[in-house]
Amino acid sequence: MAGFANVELPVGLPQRVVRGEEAAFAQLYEILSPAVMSMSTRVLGSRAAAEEVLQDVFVQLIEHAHTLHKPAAVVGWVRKTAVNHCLMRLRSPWQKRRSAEEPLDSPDADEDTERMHGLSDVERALATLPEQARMVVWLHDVEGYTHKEIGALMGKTASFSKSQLARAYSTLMQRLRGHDEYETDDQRTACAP
Amino acid sequence: MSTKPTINELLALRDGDELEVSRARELESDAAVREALHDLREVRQSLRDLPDVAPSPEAWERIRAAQAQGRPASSSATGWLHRFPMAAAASVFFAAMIGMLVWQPFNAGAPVETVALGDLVNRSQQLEAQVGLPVRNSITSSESALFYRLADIDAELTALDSQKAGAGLSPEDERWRRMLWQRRVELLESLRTVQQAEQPEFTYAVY
Repeated sequence: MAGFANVELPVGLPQRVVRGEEAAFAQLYEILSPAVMSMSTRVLGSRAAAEEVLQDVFVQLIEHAHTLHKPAAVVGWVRKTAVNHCLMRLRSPWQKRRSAEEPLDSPDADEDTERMHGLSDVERALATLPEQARMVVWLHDVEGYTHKEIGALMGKTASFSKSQLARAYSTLMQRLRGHDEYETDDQRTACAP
Repeated sequence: MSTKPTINELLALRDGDELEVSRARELESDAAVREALHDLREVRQSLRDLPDVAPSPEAWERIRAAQAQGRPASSSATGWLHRFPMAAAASVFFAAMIGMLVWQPFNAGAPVETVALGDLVNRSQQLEAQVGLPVRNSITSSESALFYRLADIDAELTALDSQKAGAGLSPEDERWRRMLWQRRVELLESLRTVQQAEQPEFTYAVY
């Protein structure tokens, strides 16, 4: 199942990570890398970009684990750092340019195309949304962030997050359930006499 | 008969968010709304049920190698700067020289510590609105070098932000953060100048 929500770490692992034990990093990577990859791949729409995020997150973790005051918060730290790196890639045109020019060695465009063929309907519909909307949908519906938290992460307001989610769902419901397009609050206000 | 709900109202009902009580009751009594709510919950559940995505088998080795070499994580692949070090250095030098010239009015007489971080962030945003990625595949080497430096800086700032959220930043880290923002502004100034000089009539996509 995608996301960090159901991740459980073995007793003592966070403390070993904070102490900088090599085997503990590897074990934590085994447990958390699928959640980082799931979020990053779906939000960024590219395995190559997702592997970059994975690399950034774990290099940073290895370098800074000893500074984490609360070992129990290690999952939250990894999730937050992964979210930050995804957001940075959505915001930074320079990062996009670099990712496009020099994807990491193994995952490539062919793999993404292959992945697209095997996608479920919901994943395919998600992939058609704008990047920012995908991020909001994932953070809200899968990771359980509140609109206020999402707004703060994106340097915007809770209303922005609500509005993005509404527009995204209007599209998803149309594509997945054949509903007529639902109006958003913004559209209704704009049409009001 | 009730007005057709907006998608915002349906999502508020699904998520238990604030909605006027009378409107909530009115909507919940509508069979079509109940069906739509059921569909919304199903879509959310199917997102949560999506299978995990496994990293490639060599990803962990790559992480260990990048960490051991102390390189910025996402630039540890076969980077442009590594492939063409002389060209990159020359381009960055050229761009930095231009940047130093155009940077003077904003920075005149103010050491890094005295320029407020907020001012640097605002200036950075203003400049970002004025430059962008060219709408074409090929870009000049000067632009490319600047893009790469900006990408590195964005990655470093993101790393510092995560560190700040975790254990907090030391005064030294805070100074480094300010320096990165200052450098970001300088590079954006350079990029704007390079773009104006090299492609005066070209249209850029602003992100």
